[in-house]
Amino acid sequence: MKKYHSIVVGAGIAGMEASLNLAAQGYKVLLVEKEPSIGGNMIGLSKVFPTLDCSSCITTPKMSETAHSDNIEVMTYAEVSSIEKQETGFKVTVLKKPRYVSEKHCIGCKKCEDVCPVYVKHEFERELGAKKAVCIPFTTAIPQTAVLDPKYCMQCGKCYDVCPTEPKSIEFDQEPETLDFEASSVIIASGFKLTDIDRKKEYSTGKEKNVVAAMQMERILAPSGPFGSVMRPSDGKLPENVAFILCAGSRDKSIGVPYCSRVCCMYSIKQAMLLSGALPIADITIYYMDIRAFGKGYEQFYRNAEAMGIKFVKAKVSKVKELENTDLELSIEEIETSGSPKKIVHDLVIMANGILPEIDQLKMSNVGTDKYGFIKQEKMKYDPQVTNIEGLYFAGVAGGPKDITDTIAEAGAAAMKASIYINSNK
Amino acid sequence: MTELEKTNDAPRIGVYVCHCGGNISDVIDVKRVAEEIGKMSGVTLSTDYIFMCSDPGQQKIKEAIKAGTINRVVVAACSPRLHELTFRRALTSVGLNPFLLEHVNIREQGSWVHKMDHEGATEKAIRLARGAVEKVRLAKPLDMLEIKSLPSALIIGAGPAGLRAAADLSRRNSTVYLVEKTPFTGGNTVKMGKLYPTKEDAKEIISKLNEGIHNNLKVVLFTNAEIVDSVGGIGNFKTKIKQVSRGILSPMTVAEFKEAQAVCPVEVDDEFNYKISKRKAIYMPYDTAYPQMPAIDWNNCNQCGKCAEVANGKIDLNKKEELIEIETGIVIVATGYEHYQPYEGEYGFGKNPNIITLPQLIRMLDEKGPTKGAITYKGKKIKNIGFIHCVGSRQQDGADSNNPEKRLNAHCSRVCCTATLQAINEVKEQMPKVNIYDLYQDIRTYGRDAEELYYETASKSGTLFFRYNPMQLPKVTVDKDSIKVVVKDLLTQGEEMEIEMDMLVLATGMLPGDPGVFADKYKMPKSIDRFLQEVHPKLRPVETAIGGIFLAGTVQAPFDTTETTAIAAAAAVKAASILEGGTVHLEPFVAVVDKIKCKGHGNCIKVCPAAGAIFINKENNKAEVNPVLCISCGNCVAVCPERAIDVQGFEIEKFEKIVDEIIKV
Repeated sequence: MKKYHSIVVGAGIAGMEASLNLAAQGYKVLLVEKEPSIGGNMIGLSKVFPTLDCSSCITTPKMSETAHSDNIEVMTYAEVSSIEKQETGFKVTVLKKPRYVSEKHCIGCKKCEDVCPVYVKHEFERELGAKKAVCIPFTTAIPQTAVLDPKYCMQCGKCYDVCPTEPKSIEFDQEPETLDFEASSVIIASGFKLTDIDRKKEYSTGKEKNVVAAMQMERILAPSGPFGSVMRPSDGKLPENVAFILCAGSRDKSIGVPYCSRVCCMYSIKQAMLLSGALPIADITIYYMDIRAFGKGYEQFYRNAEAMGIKFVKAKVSKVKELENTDLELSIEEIETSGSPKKIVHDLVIMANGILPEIDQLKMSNVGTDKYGFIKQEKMKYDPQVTNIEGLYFAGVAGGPKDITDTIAEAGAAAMKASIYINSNK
Repeated sequence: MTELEKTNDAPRIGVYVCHCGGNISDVIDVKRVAEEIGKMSGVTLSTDYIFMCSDPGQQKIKEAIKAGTINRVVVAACSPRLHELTFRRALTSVGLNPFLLEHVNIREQGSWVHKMDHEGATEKAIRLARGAVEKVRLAKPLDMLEIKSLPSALIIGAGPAGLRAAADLSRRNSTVYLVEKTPFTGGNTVKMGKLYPTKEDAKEIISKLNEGIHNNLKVVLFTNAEIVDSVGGIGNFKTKIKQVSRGILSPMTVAEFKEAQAVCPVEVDDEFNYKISKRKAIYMPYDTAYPQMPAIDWNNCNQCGKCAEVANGKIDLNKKEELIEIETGIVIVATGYEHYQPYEGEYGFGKNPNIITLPQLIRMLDEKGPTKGAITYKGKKIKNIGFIHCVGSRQQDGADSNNPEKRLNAHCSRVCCTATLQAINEVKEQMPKVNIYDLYQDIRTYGRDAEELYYETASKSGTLFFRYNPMQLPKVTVDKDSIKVVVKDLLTQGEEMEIEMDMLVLATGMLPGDPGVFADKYKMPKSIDRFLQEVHPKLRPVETAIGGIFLAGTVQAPFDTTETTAIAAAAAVKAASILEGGTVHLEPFVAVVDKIKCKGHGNCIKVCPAAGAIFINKENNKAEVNPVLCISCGNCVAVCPERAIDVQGFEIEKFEKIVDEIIKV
């Protein structure tokens, strides 16, 4: 059984940063990622607050460094199916999903992608664009290895024929593989998903064409995004009157997410600023309960948005209704001016979806979680990365919503804890 | 092909123009840039790509080098601060010397600043890239400087950040010198009462952190100590610490301490309780303070000697100062924050004793504190208590201009909302019948389980919330024994409310603390909010512009205790990767003296800002450079009458060529 100093679950920004910090100290790391590429949610973002750096600019070098480190072995498209604490260290079982493309032979030439006749919804573009049934997951994916989706593949064999490698990289007969590993320590950095857009039925049934989820907006705003510019999904019209609804998946007991997701105020303000840059004449309104701009430079960022002319309205939106022309009518109660109910029409509405834990990857160990499924912090106030299992630490949103900066700090801290643990058991 | 063979060949320059997704290519015609540069002599490849920093982007460079098409590289992209290292690594990975790379910035200095001028930005990019081509043409392979690092660390400040980092680093076999300016550990945090959401007392939290350094042979704690000087750099910082004696020679028994306190005639405001109580000149701020030894307050002790008489020889009232020199490989600055202090008259502060700050209220709520948990109001029962948020935080021009310092604190202090609500609940628990008024801008209970605290406060405690406009702050009028607050409440469409209160609590925020002489010595950069600045909030969040110096905790920005200790551990892990390896690699861009030309005038020494970086070798009367200390500023180059000194990698000749290309008609 192959042995590592640490196994890190999840190759988003937290998992990569933790792995890099361990690798820098000479420890051997296995980094397991369930998606076909490393990079996590962050690689899908447009720009990041409060510096407005493009997200790719910060994520891709970390991805590249992770993939090229001599001390880090990356395993993508693989799910951890169990983490067992043993007398010394852990036994970790990983299910390697079939990619139907050989990781060893594929050279990432994209010829298969060119000839594949099947178009499917593109997950990376949050279903706003299309991709082929066999393709490289996205432009900056690591590894640059195609992945074939058997759900949609009609086995026409065109990809096989065109594949230039010897032997052929398309392997229709791949099977799932179960692999066992040993590790002295484990870091869980399994990240998050967002609340579905129809979680709050008053806001969306999932069918309104111009009600856009936060991550979709990130893709629309990304320079390399699905539309190539900012337009609304239903008809490609340039939006003129845009609404952001904050707390559309958080701070709401009625949908089971009473907690604050901590990043939505800031990502919405950022999106509004980018939107205002792309569409200088558009009216942009942010409907909010409290603006929570608490990090370094965030308050100033918020004030800048105000100065740019973005309207902040303290109001709880009670309903969003699609009109015939696919515009949206918001029923709101404007708290600060009239206090009476109002109906306002916008042509594009963006939901600040809330953060949920990626629970599947947590069930595999006996790590303690809170009632929402986030990892419990046993020594929260003085050793925050510690869980109920000795030698198993967490980093990032697996332990509650937080922004990228805070996540990166935790990743460093988790690596510190793991390295102390590894050292004490040498 | 060996590296030598690759680099000794005539230059074959590869040029890569990055789109940066669209960050560059939306403004600059990248294809035209690549095409224009492709026409230059010696440029064997010139192309563009969507994300050069991505793996496939880097792969393009590597393949061309492997194929022998190129042996010099120019990348026209973002700031070299962001990705020069990325591309250097790419060169190294295929055996090409990393200093045969030139990274030219056409984003921050191109597309971002010339958004409206596509033609001009493209022209500028071409000129900059041409300069880079000329520079790389003259480039020679260089080696990184290798420096041995001492396996020890200096940590300044023994609050939660310093304690966490010290405990962690010491467990990785580094010797840690932990320097604290007061006689006790715990910083400001230890005074903060019950911390939400675990509701453990801050003193317990600090005790747990103290355990990490107590009886730990790897940690040397200096209390009553401050940094007075420091020189050197990563791998070897030489720091002078001035430690003032504690006045106590060995641990005292409780009886001895009590008696010594009893006989002490000096009474002063107790800063531990934010001056709501008095203490003696021999003191311990609280029972479990660490180290478990009282201290003499030299500023106030009159040296009457009464305490010494009763203390069985354990007290020495001769104040002694000792200078200690330590050498460490790295430094972590964890000097923390200061509380905002309201100025006289701000919300009536100072005009009525019942207008207090949140930290003062928190001290009152401490069952073991100065009032034994009672909220005092000169014998009268408190019926109405109000809280104002954002005092000293989120200040705006026009509204907060009365501040005598004429300086606005625009930042949010992050912790005060949660701390205020926690305090409100404690007040309510103690006095169920009290009316509570909360005046806020936004309630920022962002933390774990903190939203529940907000619900609880709003529903169970019956607290009335009023939202004020930051441009129309609440007005407080004070007469002899009443406090009147007028607030325009936005939650009721701006209706003006007048509230009478028996007590008003100002939720004061965090200000940057004074990071002391050390920060001055190394000219550590500050952010616009005056907290110390990191290199980049996401790429290098705990590192500073000065190699080997790290930040931990609220010296950087407001954070709560959980966040602070996480960041401290993150700083420790960065330190550990230097200290563990024992060697540090530095860029070779340092001054180099041409021994033949140098006549030993010494002009270079006069203009050198880095102490000790350049000196005259008495044996041959020639200048010599200590590469570890050299900061590559180039001052020496400018003043050398013999042109005998140059900065390696940035030679004058290269600059001449770059300028020629940029101004070429």
